[in-house]
Amino acid sequence: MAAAAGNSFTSPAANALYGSGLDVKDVGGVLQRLFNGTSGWTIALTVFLMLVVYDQILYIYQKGSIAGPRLKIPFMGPFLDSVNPKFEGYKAKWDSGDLSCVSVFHKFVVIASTRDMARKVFNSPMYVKPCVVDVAQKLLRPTNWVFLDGKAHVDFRKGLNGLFTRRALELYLPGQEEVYDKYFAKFLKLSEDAGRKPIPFMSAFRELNCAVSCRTFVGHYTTDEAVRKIANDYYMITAALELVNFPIIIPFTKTWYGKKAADMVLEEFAKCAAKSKVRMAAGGDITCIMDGWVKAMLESQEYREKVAKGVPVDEANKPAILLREFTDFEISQTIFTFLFASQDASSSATTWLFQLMADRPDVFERVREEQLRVRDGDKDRKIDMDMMDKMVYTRAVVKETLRYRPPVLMVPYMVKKEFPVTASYTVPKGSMVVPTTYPALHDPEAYPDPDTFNPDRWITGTAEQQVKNWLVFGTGPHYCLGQTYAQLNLMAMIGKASLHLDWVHHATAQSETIKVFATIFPQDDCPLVFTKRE
Amino acid sequence: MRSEVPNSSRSMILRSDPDVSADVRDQRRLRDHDADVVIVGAGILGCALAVALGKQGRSVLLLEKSLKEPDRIVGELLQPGGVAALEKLGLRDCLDDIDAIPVYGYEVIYYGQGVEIPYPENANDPNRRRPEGRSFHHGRFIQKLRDAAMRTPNVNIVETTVTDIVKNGWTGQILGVQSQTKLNSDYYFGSLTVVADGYSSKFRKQYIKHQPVSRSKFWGLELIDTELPRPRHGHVVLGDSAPVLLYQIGTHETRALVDVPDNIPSASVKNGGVKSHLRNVVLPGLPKSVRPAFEAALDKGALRSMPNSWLPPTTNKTPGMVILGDAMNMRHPLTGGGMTVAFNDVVLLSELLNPEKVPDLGDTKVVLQQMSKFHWQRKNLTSVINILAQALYSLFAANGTDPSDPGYTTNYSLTLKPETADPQLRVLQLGCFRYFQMGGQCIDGPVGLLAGIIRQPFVLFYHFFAVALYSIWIMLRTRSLLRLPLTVVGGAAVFWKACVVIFPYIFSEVKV
Ligand SMILES: Cc1cc2nc3c(=O)[nH]c(=O)nc-3n(C[C@H](O)[C@H](O)[C@H](O)COP(=O)(O)OP(=O)(O)OC[C@H]3O[C@@H](n4cnc5c(N)ncnc54)[C@H](O)[C@@H]3O)c2cc1C
Ligand code: HEM
Repeated sequence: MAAAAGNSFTSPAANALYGSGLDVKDVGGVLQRLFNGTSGWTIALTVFLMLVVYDQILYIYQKGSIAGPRLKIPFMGPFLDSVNPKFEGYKAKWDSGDLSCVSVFHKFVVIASTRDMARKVFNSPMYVKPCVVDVAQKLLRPTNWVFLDGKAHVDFRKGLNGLFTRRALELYLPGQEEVYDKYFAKFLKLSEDAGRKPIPFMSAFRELNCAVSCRTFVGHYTTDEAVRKIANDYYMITAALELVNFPIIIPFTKTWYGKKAADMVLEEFAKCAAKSKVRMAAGGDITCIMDGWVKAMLESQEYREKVAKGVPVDEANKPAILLREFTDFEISQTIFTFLFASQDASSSATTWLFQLMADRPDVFERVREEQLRVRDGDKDRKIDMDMMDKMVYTRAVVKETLRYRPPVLMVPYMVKKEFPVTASYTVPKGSMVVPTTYPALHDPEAYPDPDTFNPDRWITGTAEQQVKNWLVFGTGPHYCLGQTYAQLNLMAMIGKASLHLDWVHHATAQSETIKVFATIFPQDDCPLVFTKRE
Repeated sequence: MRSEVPNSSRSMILRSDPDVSADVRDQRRLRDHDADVVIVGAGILGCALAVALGKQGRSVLLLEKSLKEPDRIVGELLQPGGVAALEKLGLRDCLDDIDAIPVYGYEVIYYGQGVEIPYPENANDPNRRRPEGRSFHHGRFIQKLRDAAMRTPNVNIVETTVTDIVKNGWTGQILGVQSQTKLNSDYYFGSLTVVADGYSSKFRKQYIKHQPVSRSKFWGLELIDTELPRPRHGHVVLGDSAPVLLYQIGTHETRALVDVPDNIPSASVKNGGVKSHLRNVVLPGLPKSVRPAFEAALDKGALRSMPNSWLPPTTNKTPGMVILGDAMNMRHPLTGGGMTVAFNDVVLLSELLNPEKVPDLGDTKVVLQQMSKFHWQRKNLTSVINILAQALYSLFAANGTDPSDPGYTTNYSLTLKPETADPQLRVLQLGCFRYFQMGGQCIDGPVGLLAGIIRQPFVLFYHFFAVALYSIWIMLRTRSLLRLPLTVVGGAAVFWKACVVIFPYIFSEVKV
């Protein structure tokens, strides 16, 4: 195929050259004419046209046999579309073929839409590494662990796994509940202040999730005011996260505001890290993910010191993973990736969850019934892990929400060496390849009647067995680190809300239209009215 | 490229948020050890600042290594300017019920001759009342201040010994402190950390380039039931040895503070140490009525000393932290100015850090700007007190100093060393005393400066050089005309000496 592309590259130019009847001997004269008789403008125009042609030819060459526009809008490609991405646009793209492509500025992007194609990309760490989106490097810093690759990545991740075990997750539940209580009261007040008229709750859900994340990740090391500032400014980070951005950060643009907000969050978390180190060294208990990580570092350090001194250490007391000591900034960077990874996805899921439940009173009723039951009839009972295990129906509702409206539609990867994704097509090195989740999650073979929201498919149906299609959290070496926590959070949140709140969705014509804002949201931002449930 | 300016409608929850309630903040202090302000040291400055900021609604953690009533020989006479500042802070009642003694002014005794220097009447008071100072037992006053802090909403006092400063390893911002509570490691975090751990500050070294210089100590004795020549006045006894201060601090107790320059021969071990210096050199120079009690105290033997330090002020430039009180700025205690400076600093700082001006104390940029203003605005009062204390001490302590001493002012001017017991200083001393004897403006000005009432550095400058010229005039008058040429040269030398005494301290005040 490369040969075919090569042909189409040479022939037209050659034809043009010969067609004009020029002889090789004349070439010198042509050059002379060019330099003598033409102005700088002509040269500039010529160079420009040559670049346009080069850009087109390169695109056609890279596109090869896969689906995609026949020609590219010069240089920028469909950049303007990516400024304002539309779900329908993406969907059309996925439907256009197993593999399809676009080219934006210098970036060539291949989209892998079917389940198997997506899985192939997710599971080919030899050829691809995550690149999140272009601007993410600038916000998270290139030294961030999420950009690590291969063994370095696996090793780093191992050090984090302990923070998401069942035992660890149980420690964070009381903190989460504290935040739910606070925000449920705020929701009531918002509706109260709006005279019980519907108002969009999307941004309120975003703020709730940011607060829950901060509480789980950095505990009480930061103030409520700081959390609110992070929640508020986080919007700008999301806004900066488009699939493709203008290559440099220009002041007062979205990426610029995003970078500023990211720096603020990094600074706030670095402070938390310094505090956590002090508190853990003083023997404090673990109240958040950062504590857990810092404590593991201290234990590793203690172990190493003992070994260095020749003090015998029982194998049983050897830390499972030996960690080095991370600087405040490194800790901050890492915790920031958790916030970064969780905030948009969790907010998306939360918004759909509240909307879908409100629209389906039967589902709502069953969740409520189960929630009261697992609390033995005491709606104020504090949540623990055993209780979570018993929430069979609530879990099904959460999973069905994630399947029906998967927050992350696409996961961009970078091709690090020529990637023969199929027998007939090799993705060029340096391009972006993007596995998608939505088509697999709406595959009628795996999930019959896929466009219907049906939690029972997870209880009495076969949905639970479709592990290959369950791409909500990705798969392969980079699969979502927070997936268990994320689902527990959604279950605990909606469960508790169902017992303490009533809410009504005032559906509009836009309620089922999907808006893409990094993740997906209802186009009308979910107009709701909350009232207290007595 | 669409530019996205953050828009307030996104923070709809923000606006409907009720103010963070008091119990949330209490909980943050007690459970999380986290506050707006962490203050190291519940001494003079720390307590007052805790009260002032707590009243403004800031959440404050006040850390103190020992909450037992301190027993010290410092901070026992509060000048009227300090009393006024206490009043502004709503802490005037801390002077009640501690058996405090009113102070109406000073009695300066030069070679046995006394001159009364009352605090000047207050021009702003319709009744033209004279302001009063107070003298008392330091420990009792401190306990009153700590009580007041404890009763202030938003403030908690914790008994814990601060061991280290906590820093953001990325930005260098100070985030609070590590400490030791009983036997346990502990920690306290704040948006702003105030270091007010006193004269021997453990934490100043890393952040302040100057270190204190001390060339003498005050040795303290407690005299029982003694009669001062002029009751209810602070006494300054000047003569052949370094100055002695005397003031009543309770119904039965009078404090004697004797300045003993380092390395003077009469206090050397060979000559029987400080005790024999006090007995043989100091005792004979004291007013007769005081000697029996002084001797009795000497016999009892409970001698204590404190270094008399000089530390010029510096601007706080560390994000997240400010250093205040004796930790940041000290002057010789001869004029009893330390607490007056501390309370006035608290008044000024609490105005500059008022929540209206600085909504968030974690906003280090704004706080640093305010600290720069603080550095310059406090000078109206503190430069006067600092320069006065140092200049007066240089003037009157010279008689007893050790010639080998490198001198106080080395840091600031290597060439301008006041010589010991030199004739020019003698002339200036006498001139100063005679100046006071003239009374009227000649005492109202100087004592108004010392009392912390007059806040104009120029007034100090004016009186200082008036004294210098008057000294020269006296010299001219008392010497025979025949020696006029020599006398003129001598006058110039005296003037030069006056400059040498004062300018280093003035220069130290105009530095950042
Ligand atoms: C001999 C002498 C006489 C003086 N006489 C007078 C006078 O008559 N009038 C006057 O106005 N001024 C006088 N002063 C000056 C005055 O005492 C000081 O200026 C004043 O006390 C300074 O207050 P501060 O709050 O900075 O320090 P302090 O009052 O000394 O308070 C410091 C506090 O910090 C605490 N602390 C220290 N380290 C730690 C730690 N690591 N952790 C926790 N807590 C800690 C200490 O226990 C103490 O309570 C005198 C000074 C001297 C040396
Ligand atoms: C509903 C919520 C969430 C969804 C839908 C989601 C989805 C995803 C997806 C699709 C990926 C990419 C996986 C891949 O490349 O194979 C991912 C990665 C990741 N997620 Fe989540 N996520 C959610 C919540 C969270 C939370 C709460 C955390 C918090 C810790 C988190 C942390 C991460 C991290 C760290 C990665 C990168 C892992 C790596 O590169 O090794 N996610 N997530």
